[in-house]
Amino acid sequence: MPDSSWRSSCRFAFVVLLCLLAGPLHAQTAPERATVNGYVRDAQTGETLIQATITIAGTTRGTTTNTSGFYTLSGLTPGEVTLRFSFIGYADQERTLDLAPGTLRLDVDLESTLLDAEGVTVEADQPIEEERAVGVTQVSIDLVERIPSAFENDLFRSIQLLPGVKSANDFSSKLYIRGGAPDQTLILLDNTTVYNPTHFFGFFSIFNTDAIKDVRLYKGGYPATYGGRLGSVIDIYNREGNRNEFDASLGIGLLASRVGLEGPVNIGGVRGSWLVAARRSTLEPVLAALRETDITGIPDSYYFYDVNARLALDLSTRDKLSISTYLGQDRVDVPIFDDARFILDYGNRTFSLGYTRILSDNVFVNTSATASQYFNFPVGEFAGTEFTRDNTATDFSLRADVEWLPSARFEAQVGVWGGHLDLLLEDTFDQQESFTSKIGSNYLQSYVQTVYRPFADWILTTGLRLSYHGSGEYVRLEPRAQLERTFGDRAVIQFAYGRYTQFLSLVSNESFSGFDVWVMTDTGLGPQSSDQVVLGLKTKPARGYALDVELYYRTMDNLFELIPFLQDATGLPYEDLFRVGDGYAYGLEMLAEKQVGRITGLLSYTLATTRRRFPARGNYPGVNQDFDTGEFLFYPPKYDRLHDFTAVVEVGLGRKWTFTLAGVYQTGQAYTLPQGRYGLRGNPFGNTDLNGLYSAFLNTERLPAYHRVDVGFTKEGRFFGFADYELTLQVLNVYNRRNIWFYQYDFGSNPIEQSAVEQLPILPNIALKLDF
Amino acid sequence: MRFSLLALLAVALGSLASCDTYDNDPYRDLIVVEAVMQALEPVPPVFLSTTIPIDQEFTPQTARRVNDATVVLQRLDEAGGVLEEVPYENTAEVGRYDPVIGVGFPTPRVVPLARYRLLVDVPSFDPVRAETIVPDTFTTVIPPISPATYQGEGEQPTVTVTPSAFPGRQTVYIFSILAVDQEDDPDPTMLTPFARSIYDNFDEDDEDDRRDFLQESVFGSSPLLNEAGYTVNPDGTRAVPVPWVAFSYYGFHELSASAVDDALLLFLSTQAAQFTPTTLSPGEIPNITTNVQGGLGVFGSYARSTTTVTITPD
Repeated sequence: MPDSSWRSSCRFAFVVLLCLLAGPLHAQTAPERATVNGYVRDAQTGETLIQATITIAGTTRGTTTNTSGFYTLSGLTPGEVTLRFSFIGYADQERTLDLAPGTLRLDVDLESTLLDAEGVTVEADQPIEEERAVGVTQVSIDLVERIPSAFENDLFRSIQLLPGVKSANDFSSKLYIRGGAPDQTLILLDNTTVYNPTHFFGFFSIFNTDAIKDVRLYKGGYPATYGGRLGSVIDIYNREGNRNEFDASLGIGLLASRVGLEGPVNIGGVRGSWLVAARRSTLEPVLAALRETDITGIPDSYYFYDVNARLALDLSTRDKLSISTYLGQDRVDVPIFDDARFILDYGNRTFSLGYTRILSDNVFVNTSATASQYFNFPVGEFAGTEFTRDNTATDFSLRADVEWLPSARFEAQVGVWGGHLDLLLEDTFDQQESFTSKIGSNYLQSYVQTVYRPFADWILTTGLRLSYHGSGEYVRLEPRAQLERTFGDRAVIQFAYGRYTQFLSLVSNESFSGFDVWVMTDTGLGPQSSDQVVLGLKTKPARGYALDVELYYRTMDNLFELIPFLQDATGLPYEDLFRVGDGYAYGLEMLAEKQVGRITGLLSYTLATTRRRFPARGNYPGVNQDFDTGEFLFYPPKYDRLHDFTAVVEVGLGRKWTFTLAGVYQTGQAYTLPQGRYGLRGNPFGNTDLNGLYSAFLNTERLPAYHRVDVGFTKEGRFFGFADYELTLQVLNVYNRRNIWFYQYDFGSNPIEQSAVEQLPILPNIALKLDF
Repeated sequence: MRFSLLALLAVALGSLASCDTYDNDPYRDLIVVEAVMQALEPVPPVFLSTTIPIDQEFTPQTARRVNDATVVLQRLDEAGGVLEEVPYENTAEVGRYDPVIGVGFPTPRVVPLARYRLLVDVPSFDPVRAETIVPDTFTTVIPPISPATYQGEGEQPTVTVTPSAFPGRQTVYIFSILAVDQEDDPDPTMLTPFARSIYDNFDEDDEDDRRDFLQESVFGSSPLLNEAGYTVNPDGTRAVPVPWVAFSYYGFHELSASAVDDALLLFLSTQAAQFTPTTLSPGEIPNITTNVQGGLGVFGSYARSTTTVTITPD
């Protein structure tokens, strides 16, 4: 018998279907019109630009380029029209056209003018239309490279500065977005799912900023074109490479060094570009020096590397082919006292083959075949006793998306994404197999999404996504809708609703990502689901200024996690390995940006609450149970923070110097302060004391507020006449605030002593990048 | 107008967040029960105490003991009827309750696969109740080859035991190793190499830590291990290899396999999660799961089989 959530999905889906049908009916009544389409590119490199804006001068009407950098403006009245092409960091370009009925192909190259000689941002203003979808943030890679960071520029640590995005601690780059755990964010690299986006056991993310072209963060209420995760999406596209000339770059940092090569390609008249960007840690001298000291536990070796490569070919004016790959790995080998050693290899490999075709004047097709594998292979040997783990997540998929833009008032997109995911986990202990789980699943997701403009200032986006997951034979319908009302080109109010389903869950620890294990639904263990509503206001009160406010509320049902107390899973039914709970989150996010002038930056504030509840289930006893009533109660997870202020300021100092400041103030995270203790007199199984801590409820206390200020200086110039250089000098945590990560309890003291484990102290950072 | 509406919603959300408070209850003393029965052995004493505030001094010997309780142990039939009842009385040792046995009667022994209920009534506290089902007994049919050379090729001790049984689930074991020669005065020169390197890594001035390590290493135990992880022989017995890492000392050892009940299974697994890393965030400390209604602690049971082995240096 269908459950109530299924029935409510179906009811809403019916309404959405009516909306989906309304647009095409209208589109068919449109008289003969003109269409303009084409690619928008960077004039210097020939790279296509994603989400560039094309507006009809004097109106609020326009469109944006898709993920291939292609735009279509349909339903135009024949005659003279002026189109304005703009993209953040590029000079606007206006083209006046005398349109005839039919289609005009117009590719446009924009000139990059992010900073002038005095370090002043001269152009970054964008029409309100560009920010159409609710909850979406485009992440500036230029800013990522200038924001001070520990040892290495990092995309995810920069994203952590955005409203609604939180970090667990200084040592983790994982993203906790709008009250969701890290596994609730879908991470795509060139349309390929990335299952463990971390290096250095979570300290920073795997994405090499030298290789990235575009990053788009959907914090919530994301459209029907995406699926598979409860909360959010990070869609990353690698650069295609310079189509005009050979280019090389070299970067040297405290932790790693980078090299990038790119250039044009011509294979039998087929033109295109290629790019290779590689990065490797350079910690060996530091480790060698540390091994000479008395410090124990220094690895015999540690390194990580990653390689991004991409080849893009223009098969014709209508067809493009791209091949991209990512290879990355971390390896650590640590001796532990005598007669013990621990070795860990973990990493990711992805491959993507993409093909796009302009099928007709107003139909664009984007297809891809992808492969992704995450692996971790820890091996430990302690006193002649070995344990090993072989853990892989292997995903092969095919995806096709078709965009149809028949008129000015209607556009549609349909897509299908299917594949096969295998999750393998094999543990051995002392030469014997101790646990094995091999679970695979076919999956298929399809969607239809329409954008309908019934009036000039109203836009209705409706979508329906159908998800099938083979493991457990689950089918879910996910309606999505967004209604928005624009007020000239300065303000837009948006309301979005969406239902989301997630068939996977991540077994992880906030302090170490090298052992991450993915698990999935199966018979008796249903998918996680979430309903989200978002209300947003986006304004541009003046040229170069933006002020956004968003409110959200989301439910989280059927959350499944590995039982944290489980000491041995051998022989247990799969569904008995998990605890199942629910949760909710709501919040208010405000973002103020100044995008032009000598001083630019952003100020953000987030008011947020998130809660979880895990009652007893099967062998799982439940947590946070009221002693008197026996009821299991909602509690805040550790990453719950009520207030969160962030400031990022960039100042052009002249003579190619830029000053960057990033400051954060956050109310403290939740933790459990034990109220009482007890102990047993004896332990029939060993000499270890059986002590216990007791608190009426879980995570009722708050750590002291977290705050930190990082500063950095960047100098650009010519390096002995043969290369452009960028020198970065940074200081993290300038006033050496010892933020607390967590408290630990020493039972060796009486009474128990509570001591704080602190986070990063003041840290310098220096990096040099050469561009040949 | 619409912007005002949004501002109003924002204020409403802020108010909601400020109302969505989550506070702890004030601390209160709770009764802590400690009674662990071994199949076929005499019914054990029951220890009663209370929790103490986290900031007060505590040792198991000086904890607040409960001396005025009424304690009764019952053996139940399948329908919950009382088959046998054993009253307990407070002893000279504060907080300890022993079974009251008539003169000339032996102390009742714990019956395998039987269900027991413990009733504790303490003035000023709610009634405390707990139940356990005793795991079935099992025996060692093939002891390990002894002596065995530490980490010697083909010399890893293996114990072969008959299967135990527990209603509704597979058997869960804990394996314990007692270095018998080291019980009274642990000798660091008898430590195996890995244990010795840990011992050597303590600061020389930190005698307390060194002593604690030596003492804890005398009698150690494995995590909770499921029966399904072991090879089943054609005759139904289980072959259990004992990992070398479990031996911290050379010399004569007692090896015990203990099949535990649900109460110990949950108590020990959640107790370990309070002090060792898990998938929980650091600082998130769930309470230990107890089968004691109206209190804390454990009223549990186990069945045990013990054998011996001598480990010699390479």
